[in-house]
Amino acid sequence: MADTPAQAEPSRRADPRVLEMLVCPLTKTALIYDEARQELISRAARLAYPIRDGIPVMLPEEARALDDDELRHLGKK
Amino acid sequence: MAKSLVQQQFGAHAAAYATSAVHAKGASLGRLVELVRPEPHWQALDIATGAGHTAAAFAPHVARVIASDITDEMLAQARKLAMAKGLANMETASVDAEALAFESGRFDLVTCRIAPHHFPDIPMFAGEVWRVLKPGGTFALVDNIAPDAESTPGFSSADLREAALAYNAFETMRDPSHNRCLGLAEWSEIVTDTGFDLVHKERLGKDMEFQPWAERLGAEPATIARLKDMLVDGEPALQAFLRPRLEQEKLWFTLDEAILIARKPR
Repeated sequence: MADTPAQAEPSRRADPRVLEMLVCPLTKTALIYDEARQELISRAARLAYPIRDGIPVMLPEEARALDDDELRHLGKK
Repeated sequence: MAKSLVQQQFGAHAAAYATSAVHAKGASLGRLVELVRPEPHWQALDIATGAGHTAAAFAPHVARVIASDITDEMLAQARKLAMAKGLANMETASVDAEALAFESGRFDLVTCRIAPHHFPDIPMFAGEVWRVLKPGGTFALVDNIAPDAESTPGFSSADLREAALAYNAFETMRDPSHNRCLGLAEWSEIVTDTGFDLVHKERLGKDMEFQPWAERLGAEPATIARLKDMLVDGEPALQAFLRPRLEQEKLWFTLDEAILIARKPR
């Protein structure tokens, strides 16, 4: 397309009021917000949903699978 | 099957939808706001927002609207629209219509306009809308419909079934991500089976000039020629439904949109 929005706008943070409404689309359980990695973590589904340019991407096929180590680490948080 | 096709189709043609007169200014958009009568404290969700036109139409009337879609390029267009219109209460999220990533009972209004014909599982979509709505919440739906006895009277049910199949084949040829347009009666049944009270339904004819409609999603010339044949040589029930005609040497036809307003009982 003629213009690329990513260049036209500064990168953005997700709106916390939107984040607090979100749940895992698969399990409908609460998510853990990893601000540093810009991910929303579903412990129940063992998935980390990315937040790209401030837009939460709540699609399982776009999410990163979490391994046992990461899940254990989350358990200590 | 259709989800990645939808992302491919709309990813590539997001800008065409941002500027499409039908999607931006369609009569159903103003009519929808009028019928819904949004309130200033409402939390709203627009599903399969595309370039964000429906979310943007409601944003000035509600506390907040989340514009959701599964296509990144569409969400980028929706965000551009929100910025251009100075709509600070319009947010974007990438969310699947059949697996909504929202807590139950969070929204006063869920809208979905000219999109469910892409969804593989309409009852599941309706169930998810039900889940995220508060008791008393409003589900406002607009979609193109296929011919049935309600929209196209005077034909046998076999002829109407054929016409509905032919109409959906016509749409799928133009846009492979098209899944299926339902008939108006079928929509009413799904909405009420989900548990909603259907408070209003109406049909709105949408006159389309064939050529720009056929070209918007980048169909090949050979495909456009086949579409034209299907439109002008269709069976009588399909002709009665699509009403192909020449106006000032241009081929026009009419699509039927249904508006359904449903309420989740308190």
